[in-house]
Amino acid sequence: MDSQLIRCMAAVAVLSLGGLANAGINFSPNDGVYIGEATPFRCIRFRDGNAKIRFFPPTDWIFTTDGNKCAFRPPRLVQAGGTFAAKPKDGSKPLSDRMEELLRKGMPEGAEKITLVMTGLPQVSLDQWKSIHVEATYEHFGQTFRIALVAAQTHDEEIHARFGCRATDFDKVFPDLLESLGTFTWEEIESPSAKSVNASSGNPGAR
Amino acid sequence: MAVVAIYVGAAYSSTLTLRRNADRSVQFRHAVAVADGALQYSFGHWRQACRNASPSLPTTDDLETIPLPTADLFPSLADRVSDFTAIRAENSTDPTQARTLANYRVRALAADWNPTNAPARSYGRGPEDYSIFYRATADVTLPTVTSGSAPLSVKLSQVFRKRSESPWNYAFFYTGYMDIHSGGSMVVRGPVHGMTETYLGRALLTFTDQVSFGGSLSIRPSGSGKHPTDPGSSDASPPVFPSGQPPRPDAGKIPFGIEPFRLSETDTNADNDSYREVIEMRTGAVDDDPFSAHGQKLRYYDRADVRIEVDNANNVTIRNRDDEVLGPLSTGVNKDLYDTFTTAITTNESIRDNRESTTLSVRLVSLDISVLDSSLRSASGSNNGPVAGKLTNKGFNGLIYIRDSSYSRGSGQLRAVRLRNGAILPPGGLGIATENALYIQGDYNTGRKTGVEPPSNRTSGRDPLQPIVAGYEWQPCAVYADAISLLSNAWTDAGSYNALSSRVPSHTTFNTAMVGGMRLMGPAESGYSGGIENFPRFLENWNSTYSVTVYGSMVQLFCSVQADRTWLHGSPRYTSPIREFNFDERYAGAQPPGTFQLITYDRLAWTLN
Repeated sequence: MDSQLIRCMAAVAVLSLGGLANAGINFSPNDGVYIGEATPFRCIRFRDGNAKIRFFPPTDWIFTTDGNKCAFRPPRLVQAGGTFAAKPKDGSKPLSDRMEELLRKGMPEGAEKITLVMTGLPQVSLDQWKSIHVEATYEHFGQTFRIALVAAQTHDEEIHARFGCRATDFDKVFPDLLESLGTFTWEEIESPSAKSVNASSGNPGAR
Repeated sequence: MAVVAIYVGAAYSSTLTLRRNADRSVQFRHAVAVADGALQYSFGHWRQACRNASPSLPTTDDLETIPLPTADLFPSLADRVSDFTAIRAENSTDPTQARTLANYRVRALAADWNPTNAPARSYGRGPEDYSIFYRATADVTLPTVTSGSAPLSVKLSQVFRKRSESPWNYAFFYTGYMDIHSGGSMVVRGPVHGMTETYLGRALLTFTDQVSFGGSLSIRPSGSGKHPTDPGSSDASPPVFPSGQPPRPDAGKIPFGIEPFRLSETDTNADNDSYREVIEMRTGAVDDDPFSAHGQKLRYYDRADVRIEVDNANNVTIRNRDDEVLGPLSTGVNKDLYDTFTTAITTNESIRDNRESTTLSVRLVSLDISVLDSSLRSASGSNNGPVAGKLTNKGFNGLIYIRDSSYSRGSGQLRAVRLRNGAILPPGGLGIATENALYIQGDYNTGRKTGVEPPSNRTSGRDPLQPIVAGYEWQPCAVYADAISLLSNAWTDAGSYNALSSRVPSHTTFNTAMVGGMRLMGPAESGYSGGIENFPRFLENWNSTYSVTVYGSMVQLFCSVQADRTWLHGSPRYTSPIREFNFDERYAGAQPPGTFQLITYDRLAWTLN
């Protein structure tokens, strides 16, 4: 093979790998401060390549790193928790057609009396990305649990927000989490080639 | 010896005189104190009589029922007066017949301050700006300790004033705590009054008129200090006040004449929770409702000529001022009202208000103001629509009450009212009240029409000092709502579901007074409410590029109950407009439908004879 061609291919490979390394959402939560109208607001930030994602969590919820995911749980509640995770975009089927499969992945083995709710639930947008929200209830070891999956496709990834808890607690805590997902904001684009092209909140509020 | 006797006599005489003088001085102070106490007693009863008589005024005859003070009100007199007596008449000319307290009366005064039976109003700038004066008198006679001395009498009189003023005398009037920590340069033009705590901060805040406060005032200290409501910033300098006009205490102003202590959210009465009652319907008996008792009509539902209610199934019920349900079979002016408002109302439209919810839509009842304008102007020329002229000269008072009764956040039912096509208001102006949140979409009361913008909206050569299209006749108007949001001329309902970056507004102008709620932080919360700069709320990406021009008066009368989410700036909610908030003095003389009163009861001139 021509040495120049090899060098070109190597360069392409390096650039591609570099691009991949730069592309994924890193859901390790970092404390942040957003300044709006000269007023600081506490927030959580994630990295998304050259961009940052700003997120205002529900009050008193606890966010930690769990591998490449962000794990969270509501305050003063046991058997309740969830994750944010970024997944490669699956082009085999539309997201809406995969929601049941993805939802079932959140159930433990042995789950029974499963009831799925695939439509009619409140929907939320993660910045410009419309999401799909589905829920299920199931029984496991004599307890009834309720889980939710909110999934959205960005340009080249899928964000999966999962939450589950005892069914009796679900309505007390999940609405706050769902509302907070609407505060996901891609900000501070550092490069015009960054994949999440959204400057909706680039303005920190001069007044 | 004789010389010694003379000296002793002189000393005795001198000490006797000194004693007599000292005694009379002490008695004089006691008499003044008793008279002042008696006037205070009559002031309390006079104020209560004014409340009970409202909206009328008590006459001199009415005030004859003020009870006479009794001896137990003056415990310090117990060892000085053995038989305390009080009468309403003046004392006899015979000093031995003098009563302890005489001439104990409160008399109404005419405009020239001469006594009269029915008091006269002295008007200020507008019909709601007036004062009524009364004179209270109390003559106190106390015996002197020295035998043979004549009793000592003092005659005290004092003028009591009931003052009514309109809230439109203020650029900002707050009943809750008022915090102003504007993030950037902000000039507040017009008087500002906070009834309770007032927190002022940030260096770039400038007041051009008087700031007054009823509770405590806290001007942000220099250095690292900050207010409890202020989350803090690097800018820690005090605001600028007009020369020679530092903030001054002024505790008397009472909305509707109903003192805050008469309102309670914790008792069993559902009709006295807060000043928000005025945008709600009464639920109990009239006598238990401080906003309805004694023949008062302070609730906007009761004051409105048209009362519109939408239920969960979007059924619309329209009532007239007599609370009669109107329908297609109504006749006369009732039919005209029915036709006008069924044409003006659209139900079941939805928007996304990301402050209130990122997941739930807000269902709107929309009122098309252009339909009302057509109905309230004579049918001629281009005014030839289906309701043109229907309500012209029909005595419509310009006040509309509208609500969607199916609001329930717990059930996911967010409800609100929207005003649109309000650039041209009908003659006489409008007052629109709702217990729901209110959205004003697009220019309001500016005369804007297709291709003709007020100078305040121009993209080139924008002039915020000219908020009206040439030739348009400004109308006095006000809105009264749980919370008030301002939407731009570029607003679309579908666009409200888009990301903030896509919700691009345009310069928009609102010439209206606003009475509404704020989401103030509770005792267990911390943080900034958003301040007066966020009294009107925004939902678009104004981005410090597009302007919101307001000419009016902003009154925070209560805390928002339905639109109750806390303030947060930025995506997905809003970014800041160029705020051109201006006080409009025209409201002092041309008051909009639904104007209410701020009442002050105070004691003025004090005279001692």
